[in-house]
Amino acid sequence: MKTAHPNNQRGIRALLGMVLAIVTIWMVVLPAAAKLPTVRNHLEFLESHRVNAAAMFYTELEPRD
Amino acid sequence: MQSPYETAPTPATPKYKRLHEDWLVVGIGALALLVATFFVSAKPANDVGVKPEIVNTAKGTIAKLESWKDAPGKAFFTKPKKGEPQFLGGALLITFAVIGTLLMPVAYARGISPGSFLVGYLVLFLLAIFAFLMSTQEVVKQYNFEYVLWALLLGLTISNTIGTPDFLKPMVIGDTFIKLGLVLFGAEVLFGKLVALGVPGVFTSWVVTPIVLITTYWFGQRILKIESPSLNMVISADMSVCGVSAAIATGAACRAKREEVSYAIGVSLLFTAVMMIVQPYIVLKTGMDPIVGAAWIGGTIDSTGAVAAAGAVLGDDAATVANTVKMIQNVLIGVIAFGVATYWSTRYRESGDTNSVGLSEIWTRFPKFVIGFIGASLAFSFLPPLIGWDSNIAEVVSKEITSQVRIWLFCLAFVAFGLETNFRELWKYLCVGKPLLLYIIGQAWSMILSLAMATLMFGVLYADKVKSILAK
Repeated sequence: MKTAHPNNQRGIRALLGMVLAIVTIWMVVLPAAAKLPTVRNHLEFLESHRVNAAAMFYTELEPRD
Repeated sequence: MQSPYETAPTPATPKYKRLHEDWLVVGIGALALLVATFFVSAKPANDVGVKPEIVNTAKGTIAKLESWKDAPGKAFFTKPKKGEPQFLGGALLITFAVIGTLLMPVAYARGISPGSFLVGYLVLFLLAIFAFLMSTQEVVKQYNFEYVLWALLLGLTISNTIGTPDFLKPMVIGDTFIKLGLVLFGAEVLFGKLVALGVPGVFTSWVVTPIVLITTYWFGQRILKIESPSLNMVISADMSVCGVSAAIATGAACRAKREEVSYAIGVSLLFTAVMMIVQPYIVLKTGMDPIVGAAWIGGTIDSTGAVAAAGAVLGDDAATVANTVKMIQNVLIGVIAFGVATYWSTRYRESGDTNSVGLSEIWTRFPKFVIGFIGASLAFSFLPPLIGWDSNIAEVVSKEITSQVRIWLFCLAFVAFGLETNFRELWKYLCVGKPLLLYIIGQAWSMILSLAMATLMFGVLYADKVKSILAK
């Protein structure tokens, strides 16, 4: 199995940097994006039509009324 | 570089052990499917002519995180139409136990100690929860960036920063998670769905799709001269059939490298996010018949969820057509995976040698878990009426129980793939233009052929018949 084994200190810093980036994007950027009128309208549209836009296969879709 | 679908051969691991794991996975998957059927039954209706009610006593047992906007904690509470939200903690514990039980025989066969199994599996499971949490954020979800992408990202982040910890390595068995997930996945591939839209649905999904797949693969091999046939096949299948699920199934069938599957999935998700907005826009702006447009969308957009979102923009009937065309195309995945596994077994050695081989060699090379995948599909498609079951029982078992387990297994698999992937290896694929070009040309070809077939079938030859089906 090939895995990178960089310098430990550098690796920890890189990991913390990635965690910070993920937290910032998911806790700040994306919630802010969800409030934009265009995005909010699209989200409301999908919700009202009960569309699971992230479905990988038809069995993951909600049944249509 | 080793294929992710091969059990790592070590000097102490004789060849029969590699075969053994495939059969073991098929056995575990078959048993899981059988057990799942005990939770579902048909309650006879009192009135004549009324369909029996299907009762699923295991509904909601396997955890499924809910969508959230700005408070991730909401992902851990159900969103019932009536009543109070329920905490998913119990469901997560049950899910952990169920999947752990399925994996135990594999861990035992691999000689993984109970302690290593428990610790490694627990960490992978927590990472999978985190990946689901990322994928259920509403903005992420609406653009179809599925959990596999975030699972891969989390794994890559760990392995390429601090390195995969030694205590995790025994359980970094993405290949096994995928194989087991695919056997369960087989139960979702129901051939009865083929007739849902009659002839036009079959032509749009089952005629155009194989043509696009074969010609794109041929184009990649002969014209673009893509170095890796398995990368070519995974991109061709992912682009022509149904995105991520097709990439996973064909990647396993042709023993593609994990970087190849990851690359194909990344490209597919990126283009899907664009196409799910652009295609309905084209239909609306050009004044195309929404039903034809919906069939076109169903036949070309890779991902099922994206098809549902794009189809809904065109109206209710159009959404039904788009979803149904995609569903029929989804069913093709079983045939494609079997065909690819057979083709690869007859043509390619791991070294890439394409000399022809005898039947026994083909059998030796054939990935046995594909038999489990196809077997589950055939059993769930054709057995229920033969044994006197209501046909909806098989559908409820696969949709409400085993598909949820399969989703967790795929998520665990991509966490594991990330944990065993060096980003530099993945970067090589990102820097080469040919695979991307293959995807773009293949997708353009698919759009042209699908539009022609959708127009012919849904706009000309069977327009009235489709309208009468929709009216029902």
